Amino acid sequence: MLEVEHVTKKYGKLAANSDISFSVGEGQVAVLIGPNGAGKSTIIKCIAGLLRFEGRITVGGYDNRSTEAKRLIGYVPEMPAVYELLTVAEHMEFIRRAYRLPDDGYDKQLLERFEMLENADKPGKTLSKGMQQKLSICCALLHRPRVVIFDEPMVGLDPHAIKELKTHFAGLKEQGCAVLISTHMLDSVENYWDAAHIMMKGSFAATKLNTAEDGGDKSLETLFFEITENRPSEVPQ
Amino acid sequence: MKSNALSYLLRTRIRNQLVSFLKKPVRLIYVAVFIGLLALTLVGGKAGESDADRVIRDFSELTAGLNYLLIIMFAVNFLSGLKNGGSFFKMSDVNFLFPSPINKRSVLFYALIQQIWTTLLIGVFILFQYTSLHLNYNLGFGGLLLICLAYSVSVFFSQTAAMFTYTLISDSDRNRRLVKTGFIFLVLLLAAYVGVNALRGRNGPIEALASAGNSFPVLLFPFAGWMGAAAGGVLTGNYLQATIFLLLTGAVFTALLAAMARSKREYYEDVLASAESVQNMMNAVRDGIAPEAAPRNIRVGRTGLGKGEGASAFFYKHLVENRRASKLPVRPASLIFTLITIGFSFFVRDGGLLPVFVFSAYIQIFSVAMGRFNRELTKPYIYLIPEPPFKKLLFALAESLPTELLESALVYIPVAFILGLPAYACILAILGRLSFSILYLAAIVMIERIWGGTLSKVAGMLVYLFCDILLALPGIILAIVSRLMWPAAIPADAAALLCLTAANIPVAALLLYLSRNLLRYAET
Repeated sequence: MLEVEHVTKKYGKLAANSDISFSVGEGQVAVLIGPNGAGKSTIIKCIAGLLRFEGRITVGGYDNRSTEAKRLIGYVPEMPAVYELLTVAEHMEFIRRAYRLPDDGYDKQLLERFEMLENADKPGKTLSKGMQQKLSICCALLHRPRVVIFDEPMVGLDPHAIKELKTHFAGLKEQGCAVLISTHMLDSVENYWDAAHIMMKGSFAATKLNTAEDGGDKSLETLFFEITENRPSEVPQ
Repeated sequence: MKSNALSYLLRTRIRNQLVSFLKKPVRLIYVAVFIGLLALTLVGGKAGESDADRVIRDFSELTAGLNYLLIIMFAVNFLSGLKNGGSFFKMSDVNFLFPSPINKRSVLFYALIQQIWTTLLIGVFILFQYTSLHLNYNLGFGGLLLICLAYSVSVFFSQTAAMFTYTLISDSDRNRRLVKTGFIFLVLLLAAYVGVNALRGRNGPIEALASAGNSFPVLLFPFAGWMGAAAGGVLTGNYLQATIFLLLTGAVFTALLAAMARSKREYYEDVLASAESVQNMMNAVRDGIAPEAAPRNIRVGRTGLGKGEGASAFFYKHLVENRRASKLPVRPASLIFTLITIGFSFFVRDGGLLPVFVFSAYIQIFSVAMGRFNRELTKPYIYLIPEPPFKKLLFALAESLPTELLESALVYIPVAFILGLPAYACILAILGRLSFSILYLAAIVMIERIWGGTLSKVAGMLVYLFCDILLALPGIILAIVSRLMWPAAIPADAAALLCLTAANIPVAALLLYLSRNLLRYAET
């Protein structure tokens, strides 16, 4: 569903991403983990079609910058993307209209699931950061995307919302969506991932699959700290 | 030792600012551009001295205008300060100084000293009025510097007075309303006094306004009127008046400081909200997000976009946002620009429509830049929504058109009355102004297309100004050429407006078309 092939993103001489390739299939959850500045957000923004890059990214077989691909992508940015002067309900109406979606009540269902329905008439400015993040997630999911990209989605959320979001990850997986989550909080990804890519200095330092064959003797956490702290020269490429 | 900590902090901040200034050559370029523009203004003023048509206007108009300006700015700043206590402190002050064992009075004086430096820079824009003030009132550069100083000091007083008043009334909504209402009443009373005098004037409204602006009720307005009277006294050689009002200002300000220092009230809590708000704004600017000019308490009112499918949803969303951003159908800053333009037309009413139009087109540069388009670019939706980029671009800009049309009508209908213009000239001026709105919007889009968010705020503004001038040139050249070729075909003003409009629209359309893929990416 999501194919990333040899993507390199440079800011001047600095390579934020170097020759990254990976894919996320239908019903798969992939996580990008790495320390701050590893290049996770950059590759996420490239996939979302926000940044120029070298290489190729396709979503459902379409070039990620095409209108067809944009219909399939849901993107939750790291900084909650909320309009200060619009109410919660108006955010949902705006997305519904902009994506030309039917008024089938799914917006209310989403708001209810994230406990935002009682805040429907509150302007974005008055929402706490956690509520803004929940609204941002609702906006990203409203058009029922087939590829959902989360950039540090847990930051600022309360425990209940984190639990709800994790349930939602599982739900998206069941529905056959491809889910890509970037995070630097190892404990937040638990065990619901199918593939974990550990990023360092703009590249994949290691990829671990959550299968019996690739179980190995090292946990994701052990592998992560080995790569990021102790033995960078022994990183498997 | 404790007070040394504050002086160390102040010294280090100033030193680091200077060091960072030298480390960034681009800032030196800004200074060079600033000095260059200032020199141009001075040369322009000197060059016009020998103009045979030069008429020196009554100097009392200038001192009255200064008094009005100081009072308006004082009122705006004071009312703004009453809402949140002003922005004397940064979050670093709140986090490090407030919990420290440093005396709160020392902290207060430290903040005041910092604020003086900040406000001194505020009045710099007045220096660029040298040409017009020198030619019209024979004002020297020293006099202009004095006006700048009076303006800056008056702004400083307004902030200090607002902060002190806020600490006294912040815990009672009733008291806050009372003080706010009382202050507004005082300003309205003064406005009524000026208005009545202007209507009664036998020698025309300008003379009457000048006379009222120099009268005692105006000069007695706290701080702003006093500073105006002091500056006016020096400018007109009335040193007794200057001394009396300076002494009055000094005495009242000293009493205010003493009262603040001795006050049992804790001001820390009162300035916290504004410090947080300033910090949020700084963070937003650092992250490339234009801060929303949202009111403190948003009145939601009617909800829902109601219309729009696909890209047009942006247009209807912007309409909802505009409705919530201000109680008035126009932006408050635009209203001030409108009033300034109408006021300007009074002074140049003998020169016809063109001087007003040129002034309005200049002011418009700043009002157009306040539209929603730049803010929309900082959110991901405009890039994510599956619609053609050009369509999204046009609908994201469309919000400015009804606003600009309304503002143009608000400017030129009164101006037409003041200048005694025929209806067709008024319509041409409105259309001409609208064409400049579209041209400036196209300039914003073009700058975004070329530089994206890579320009700093100052560099962005300079580039924007330069591009606006450059893009307006085809219209200006067309107007000059048509005048030379057909000198008496139609009235000069109307011909110029027609030429400007006729050139601006295709130039803007071409630029927008060339930037049609701007929204494919969030970067250039």
